[in-house]
Amino acid sequence: MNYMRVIILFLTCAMVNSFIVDAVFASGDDSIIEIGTIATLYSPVLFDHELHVKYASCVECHHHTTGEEPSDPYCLPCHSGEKGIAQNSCNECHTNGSVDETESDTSVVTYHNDVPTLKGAYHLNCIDCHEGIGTGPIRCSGCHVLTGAGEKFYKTEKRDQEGGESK
Amino acid sequence: MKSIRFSRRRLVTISLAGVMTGLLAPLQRNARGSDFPGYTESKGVLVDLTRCVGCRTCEAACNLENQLPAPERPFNDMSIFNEQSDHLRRPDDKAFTVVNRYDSGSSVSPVYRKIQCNHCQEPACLTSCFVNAYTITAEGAVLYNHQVCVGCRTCMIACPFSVPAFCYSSAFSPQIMKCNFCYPTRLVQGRPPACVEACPRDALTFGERAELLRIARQRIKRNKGRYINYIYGENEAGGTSWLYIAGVPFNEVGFDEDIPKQPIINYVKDFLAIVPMVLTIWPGLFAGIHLLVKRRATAIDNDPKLAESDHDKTAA
Ligand code: SF4
Ligand code: SF4
Repeated sequence: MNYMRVIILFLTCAMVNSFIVDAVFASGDDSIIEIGTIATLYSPVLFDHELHVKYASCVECHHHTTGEEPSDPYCLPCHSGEKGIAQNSCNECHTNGSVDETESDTSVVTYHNDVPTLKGAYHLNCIDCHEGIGTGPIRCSGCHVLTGAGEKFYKTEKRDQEGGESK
Repeated sequence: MKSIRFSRRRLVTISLAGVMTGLLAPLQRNARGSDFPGYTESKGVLVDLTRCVGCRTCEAACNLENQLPAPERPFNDMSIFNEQSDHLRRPDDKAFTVVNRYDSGSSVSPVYRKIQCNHCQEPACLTSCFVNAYTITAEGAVLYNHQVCVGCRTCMIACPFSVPAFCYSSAFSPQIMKCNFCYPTRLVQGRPPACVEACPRDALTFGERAELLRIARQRIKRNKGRYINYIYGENEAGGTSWLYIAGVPFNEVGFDEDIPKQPIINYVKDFLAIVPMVLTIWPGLFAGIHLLVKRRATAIDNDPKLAESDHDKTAA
């Protein structure tokens, strides 16, 4: 019955994983975070939060949500001197909607418009910062490992062209 | 005799009507060409060149969505950019979109740019096609119908962005290949094109064209120094559904800055005005000539002397 316990443990881990992904503080500041809610073509990214704290201050990724003074002057009029808010993981503001959805109500003055999608927010923030400070991966394979679905999508293997049919 | 004279008077009337139609037609065209503001619900895509990193995911997504043939090399092969120094890649019958790298003088890092049909608001491909193989939807998608196309390839010459590509593999059933804005599979349900959804950097933003223009201006204003103050496609060729903002001058990254700001139709309308004239005046003119010749023939039939004199003339 030992293998049953292994399977249950594995399933529990998988479930827990799917909950903690993208929740930066869910398991503490100094942990490796698995980012994988949107992973299909690539396997989840293992993000070393502790490492990144050494390179960047909170605001550079979390904007006004951690209580630090925002670095973007555009945010200051509303968020200067704030205590921070409870929602500070990426996917609580960055959804996968298009512009049409994020900007549905044009009758009010919204400052949180043109908000990048979750996927966009990661790649815009990560790559721009890596490029800016001259360290850290800037190409896909630097953070990601292609899944089988990804290999098919990017047509990485010859089998997509001929092998598939000959078999 | 009488009937011929009557016909001739009618001919003059018809011809005059033809001339009037011919002269008025360009006026009507002009009114539409310069005043048409585009459909209000027209969709578009804002391409932010400062965000594109040349990952080619959009190319792969397009290939999958449109079930295009497998590429010679994988879509995650970046070495393709190293081989383009002499000729930049263009969309063709096997790829509706391609990404190229540009080493712009104004930027230290290379700039990447995705090319596809810009879905003009007043498409030259559509206006140039004399069998109406092209249509434009209310969403702004410019669609091509191969069942109507006769394969004359005028659209390939007419397009100011050289987008339509000819599929040479099927010489007997003409087929122009170009981006269709994912209209049949996505746009029709209000969903963004496959490339937009796949882009990891939100370099492509889908939305209403008017809203995208507002967003583009906002990005330019909010991020001082990141962009040059210009939205390519806002007015080019009369306005395109795909819009571009960039951090370097557009002519450094392969954009044609000399493209007229007015719909291409305005530049060919003088020529096109001849078409209704040909259609209206020529029938009258040639019918007239025909009747004159016929009249002479009838006259010869009735009067053999005339025929003899005619014969003498030809013999001499
Ligand atoms: S870019 Fe060319 S093919 Fe596309 S709509 Fe405009 S004229 Fe037609
Ligand atoms: S998917 Fe986006 S970032 Fe990648 S090449 Fe295409 S437009 Fe550029």
